[in-house]
Amino acid sequence: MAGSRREKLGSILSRLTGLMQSGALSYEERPVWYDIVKALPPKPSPPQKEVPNIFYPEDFVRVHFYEKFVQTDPVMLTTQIKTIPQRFIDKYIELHRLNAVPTSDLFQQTVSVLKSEGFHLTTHQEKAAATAIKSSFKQEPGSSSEKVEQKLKTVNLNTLFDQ
Amino acid sequence: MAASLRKALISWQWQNCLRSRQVAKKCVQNQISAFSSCSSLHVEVQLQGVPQNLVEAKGETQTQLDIALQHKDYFGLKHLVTLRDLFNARVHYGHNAGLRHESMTPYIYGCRQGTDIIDLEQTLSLLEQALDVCAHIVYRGGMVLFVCRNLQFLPWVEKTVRELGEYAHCRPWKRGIFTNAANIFNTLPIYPELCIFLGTQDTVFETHRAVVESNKLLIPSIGILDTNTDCASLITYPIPGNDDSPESLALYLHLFKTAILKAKEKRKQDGIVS
Repeated sequence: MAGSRREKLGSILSRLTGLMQSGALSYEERPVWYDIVKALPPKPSPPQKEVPNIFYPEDFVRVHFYEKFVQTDPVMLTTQIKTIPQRFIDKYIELHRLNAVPTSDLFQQTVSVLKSEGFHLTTHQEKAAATAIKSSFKQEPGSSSEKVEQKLKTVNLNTLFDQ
Repeated sequence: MAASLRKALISWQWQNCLRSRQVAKKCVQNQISAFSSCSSLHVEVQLQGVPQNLVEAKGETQTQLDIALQHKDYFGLKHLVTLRDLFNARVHYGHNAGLRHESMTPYIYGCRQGTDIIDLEQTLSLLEQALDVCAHIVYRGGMVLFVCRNLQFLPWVEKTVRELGEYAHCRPWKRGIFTNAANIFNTLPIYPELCIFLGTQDTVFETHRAVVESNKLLIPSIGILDTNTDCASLITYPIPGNDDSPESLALYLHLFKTAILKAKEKRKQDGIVS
């Protein structure tokens, strides 16, 4: 049987050319693909490289945002409403393009603009304080959080007003 | 090799595979005195209607096949797919960066939050070339074998291939189907002229055995290579791309189907008999 079965050396084209040069295979017996692969040779593989990370300018704004604030609102995937972090980034980039504010004040300026538009930005401290109040309720002796919730559910407004 | 043999062999079902048919067996025994490891087939060309096209070049007669091969885009496949199509079909999504294989790094554009993104510009040019090669092989009467081991896509691939009149192997690969076919099927096998891998992984851990076996038997291959594959050097025409998304696979199938159908149509038009 003609041909080596060692597949790691050379390419199929080089090995078949070798077969034809050595006379093991005549030119007339060549496979269908021979002319095609010869005319359209595979492109040589580019050298291996270090894969870079992909970053966008907004990534740095986002990191800056999350260092100070937290995302508290639920994200609706079915609607086109923008989240607060996204609004922040858009405003930041817009202000940056306008070039009216120095770069050092850009973050603070964006915060004040968003606040003036009526958005509430929750800082890490506020979030921590809120969770601390919640947990203090849980630690109340003699009543578990479930019981409290159960009580809240059973409270009837009418009866409260009657009293 | 005679045209009758070719016809007998073409009608042979690959799936039920390589089991001897008396006609084929007899033909093979009569015609092939020494069986070579590569699939060899001499294509006889009959030019119908355009004998004037014969051009003398380097002492050899230039046939319609050579004219087609010298044409830049004989089958009109260059603008079949655009970068936007690839992007919409999610071809750019690679695997997690931890699964990356070094040999695939030249085809990776970058890593976005732990996910490798494939460079679609390279994919596009490689895909166009691969489609062209596929069309030329079919144009010359070559048999194409689609290989895909993703169970989710099995019915799709087999249905498409049946429509095309080509062959597919989407079931578990028995070791030696190519290399030890004579013993497995008790007859001399007919090998495809091209293997198209719509995913080169057999399981998530290992490369498909057919990649190695087709390479051993000098059968050219076209393969969709995801970022975790380790066989870029064994595939003749690699196409970096996502091989797990249904959208991507639908696009690949559509493209190869179009290429093959166009080639068969041209073959009919040009009156090529092999």
